[in-house]
This record gives sequence, C-alpha cells and structure tokens, in this order.
Amino acid sequence: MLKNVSLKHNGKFLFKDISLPFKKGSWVSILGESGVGKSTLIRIIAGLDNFGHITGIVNNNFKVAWMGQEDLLYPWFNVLDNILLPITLKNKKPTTDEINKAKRLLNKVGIRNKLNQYPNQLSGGQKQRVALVRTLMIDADLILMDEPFSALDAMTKRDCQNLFYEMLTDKTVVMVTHDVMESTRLSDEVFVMIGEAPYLKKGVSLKQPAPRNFNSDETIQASKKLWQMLEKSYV
Amino acid sequence: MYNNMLKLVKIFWGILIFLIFWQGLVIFFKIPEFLLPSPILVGDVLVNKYSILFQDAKITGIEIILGMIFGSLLGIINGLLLQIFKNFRSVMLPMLVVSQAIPIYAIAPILVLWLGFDLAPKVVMSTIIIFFPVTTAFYDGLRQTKKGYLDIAKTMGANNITTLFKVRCRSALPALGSGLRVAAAFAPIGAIVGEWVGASAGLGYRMLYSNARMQTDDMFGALVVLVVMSLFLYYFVDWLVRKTIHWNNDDLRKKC
Repeated sequence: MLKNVSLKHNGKFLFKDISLPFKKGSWVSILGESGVGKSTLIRIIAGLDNFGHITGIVNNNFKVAWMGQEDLLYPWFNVLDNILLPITLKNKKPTTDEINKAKRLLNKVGIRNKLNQYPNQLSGGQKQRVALVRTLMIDADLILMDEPFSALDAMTKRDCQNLFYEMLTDKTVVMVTHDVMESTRLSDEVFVMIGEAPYLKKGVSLKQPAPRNFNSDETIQASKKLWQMLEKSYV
Repeated sequence: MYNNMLKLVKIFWGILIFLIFWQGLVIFFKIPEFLLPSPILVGDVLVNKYSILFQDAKITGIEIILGMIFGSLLGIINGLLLQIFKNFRSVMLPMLVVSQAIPIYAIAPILVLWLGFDLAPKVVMSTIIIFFPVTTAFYDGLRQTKKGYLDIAKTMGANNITTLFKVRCRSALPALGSGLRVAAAFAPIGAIVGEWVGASAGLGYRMLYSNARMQTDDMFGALVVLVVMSLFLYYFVDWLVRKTIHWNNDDLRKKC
C-alpha cells in the first residue's frame, strides 16, 4: 500500500499525499490526463524510478510485476524464451514445471502455436498476450500496468481487455490509463489523479462483474462522474 | 529466390556492358597497353598467371582475415569496457578520436620499421582501421538500449552483469552488425597499404611491382582479384550479420 506518499523533484511536487490501498484480488485504475504523473507513480511502486525526494510509506515489500505501454518483448528471443525471462534473468535454468506452466498459459491465451516464433512475426495483440503470460510467470502479489492497451486498435483492445481480465481475475491489479471507458469497463475502483501538485481522488466504485458493457447504467453513471472530475480539474 | 536470380542477372548484364564499353574504348582510341590494358588482356593475365596471383591472394587474404578478426574482437572488447567503466570512458573516448585523426598511411612506414616486412604490420594496420568503427558502433548500441528493455530486466530482478550480457549486448547486435559491415569494407585497405610500404608478396606488393615495370595488365589482374576478395568478404559478413539478427525489423536488408 501507499500512505501519504509525495515526490518532490527540483523543488516541485510531482505528486502529493498519495494513499492507495492494494486490496487483494481487486482491480484499481488510476485515471488522469497525459503527463500528470501516473506513470511515474507506478514506476516508483515498481522500484524503477528513484529520483527526487520521496516521503511517506511505500510498502512494496512483495513481489511486483510491471507492464509498460509497449509489450517490451525482447526481439532477440523467441516467444518461449521471452516468457521464461523472469526465471532466466535471475540466471536460473527453467524447470520442466516452469516450461509446462508457460505452455499451459500460452494455450490459455490462444497462441500455443507461436512458441518458437519471434516477436517480429507476431501481431500487436499477440505480442500483448505474450507480455501478459510473461507477467503471469512472475507470480506477483501486485501487477502494475501502464496503459497496457494503448497501442492496440479498437477491436484487438477489446479482446485483450477481456482476456486480461479473465487471466488476472484473482490478482491484485493497479492499472494506469487515460481512457475513462477502459477504467469503468475493468476496475472495481477508479481513482483520479488531478491537481496542480497532483493527488489521488477517489472516483467511483463499481459493483457489477467485469468486464462490463459500456452502455450499462452503472458504467454510464460512473463515466459521467469521472468525466466531471477530470473536466473540473482541467479548468 | 526469383528476386535473387533477377538481381544476379542484372549484375551480370551490368558487368558485361561495362567490359564491352572498356574494350571498345581501348580499341577505338588505340590506348596503349601500358596505360589501360583491355579486359581481354587482363583476362589473359588472370588465366595464365593464375598461380602467382593465387599465391599473392592467399597472403593478402590471410592479412585481411586476421585483421578483421583482431580488429572486431578488439572493437567488441573496447565497446564493452567503455560501457562498463566510466573512468575508462573519459580517458579512452578522446584517445579514440585522436587515433582516428592520424592518417593510417602516415604510420604505415613506422609499423613496418617496428614489425618487419612480414604479416605483422599489415595485420596491425587492418586491425587499427577496423577497430574504430566496430568500437563506436557497438558502444552506441550498448548505450542506446531501449529503456523499457532495461526496466523489464530490473523489475524481474536481473543484476548488472546479467543485464549487460542478456539485454544490452543482445540489443546492440544490429548496431554491431553495421560496424562489422563497415569493417569488412575497410579491412582490405589496411592490408594493401601495408604491402605498399614494405612487402615481398601479396596483391598490394604485386600491384606496385607490376606498376614499376609498366606491366599494367598484371596490375589490373591483381586489382580484379582484390575486388573479388573484398566483395566476397563484405557479402560473407553481411550474410552472417543478417543470419544472426534475423529478429531485427530495422535491418539493412529491408532498406536495400
């Protein structure tokens, strides 16, 4: 969890007094306009950035997995080797169990036959699926996603959202996005990052099972509220 | 496959037209042999003095290949050291630039003086020429590893050495490949200049020897052999690079 976390850099607050609970098995989205510092926030939780002066409590004393805006597959490895990276990057040799797990997960996301192909032979959606499987191989307590669908076309995006939700059902997820519809479609809770010295404001909680239809009453109401919050902060 | 055949046919026609033009030039303007031998005469040399040319080509070939190997290895090691050690970088980078400001032709006689008339000075000269493009290309590649790749490695708990070898080095391969292509094109220069300054065998020596005796046809024969060898080296390196980095979308082959 995060408690009253602030980041000061060159005398300016990049964000201020941010608190965020990580509820087990829940999907939390952080919504905000581009450049507000959403990415920086989850990069700090992931332990990727450590510039500036951080105050408050960042409890990342557990296994964290991070997914970036692009798939970030290593083009020089084939699909299987990319998936096994969480093991091989620690200089360990993958066990038969781990290889079988990788194959099982690939099967589940529907690209078992791409095992020996290289990323440049895959479509955008397929690459994102491989990235998902690679993330799942980590067995993380918390999965951080930085606009994971932003590079995909509309239809692929929808498929991937459904698939991600299904695969991440029992995981704790924090997703950063600038897409209101995406946040209401997938999350249990949406926070909005706004302000001069940006802070997190609780937006909405959603009860219906996800992935939700964009034209259900709940998502329409939630979207309205989120848009209002974002517009207010904009003026 | 079909495209490759078409390419070969086009190259063949290109060469043929060039040779006919050359032969015509010699006949039409009655150019004396010692100024510009006709292609037929050069062909005659290639056939009849085959064994001499082959001996010379063998020596020059060994010089080029050894220079290529040492230069590339030195370049790769140097690139790695530049990436790993900050202190080494601040000393070595200016020295690299200075080393390239000295024309290789100027130090050739000194190398011959120090290392004798045998293989050594030519190999050293090739090595010196080659190691710079390889170093800079590889170091650039290492430095410019995509940040996201490094982030992934970091979140997955890779240490610095693993990140260097499994991520940075791999992602620098296309850049290294470009460096090696340039190196392959430069390698013969070192060997030939070395032979011009002091040698008793080799294609460079043969050219100078024939030139001094007005045996211009022999000189052209040696030149043709050298061109063929250089092309072979370049395309071999190019093939090797492409084979190794088949996963790279931005490879040169798609632009050529």
